[in-house]
Amino acid sequence: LTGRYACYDVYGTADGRWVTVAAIEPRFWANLCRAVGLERWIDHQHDDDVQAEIRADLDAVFSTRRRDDWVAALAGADTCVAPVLTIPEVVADEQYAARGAFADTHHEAHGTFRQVSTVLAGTVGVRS
Amino acid sequence: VSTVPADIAARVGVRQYEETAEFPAERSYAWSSCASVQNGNPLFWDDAVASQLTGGPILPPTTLSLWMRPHHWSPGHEEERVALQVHFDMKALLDLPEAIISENTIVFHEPVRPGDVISYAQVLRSVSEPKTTKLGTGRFWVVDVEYTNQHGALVGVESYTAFGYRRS
Repeated sequence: LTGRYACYDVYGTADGRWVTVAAIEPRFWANLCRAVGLERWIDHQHDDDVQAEIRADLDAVFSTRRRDDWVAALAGADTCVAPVLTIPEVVADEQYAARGAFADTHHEAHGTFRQVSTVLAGTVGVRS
Repeated sequence: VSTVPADIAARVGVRQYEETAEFPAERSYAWSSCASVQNGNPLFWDDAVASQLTGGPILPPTTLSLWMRPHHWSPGHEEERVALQVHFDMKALLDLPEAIISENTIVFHEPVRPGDVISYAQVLRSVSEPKTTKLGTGRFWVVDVEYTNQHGALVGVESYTAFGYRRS
């Protein structure tokens, strides 16, 4: 998990965004390799000698399509691929909204702003 | 009838690895944390606001776990140090070489303030019967980390649910 292996990393996409790959389990790694046409690396997941090559190949592959296209293609296919959301996307994310993760808070000098909806003494917030 | 080994069942509810943080809670960690997620809440940046709302500066609740995470190296410690020892104990005791954290819940109590010296203890809360998931066959367990300040007040409880397994 410290950056040693290409199966656990962040890769840039064609639209300047990013996806995470966390395919630690061999079967999920194999699913990913097949899905992106890199079957030759299936048996080299932990081969230190070729990690740079694997990483370069994944970089090249992910750079060909937009982030959300990759997520649509791979996230539901047991490949352990997920989008890296921007801060505004996180705040607007429907899953977080459904869990009430953010709230609007008002301060007389600083105005109204969004914050993580931890209840803090003295804050005036509305969960949303 | 439970299949959880008796020596492991006996650990449930027992406070283990009680420790005190090696340095007081401090603001640079908090500011780095806020900056990394663009958290502009004046409560954490403006002492006047913090004083008005909470009686003085507090540290973001989401930094709670920082105060129990040892650096991998410090003087006198040559081996890598882990933050959640009970979790690694469970992997060894149950002979389950792989594990993931499947859920993490934090309950906040008293706020942590700059200068607080935080102590913490780990408590095994439960161990499941054997389960099979997409990852393999193993068991779930729950470990709580309970944090208190130098006055003995509870400041938070982190609850980690883990799934330890053997690849099928």
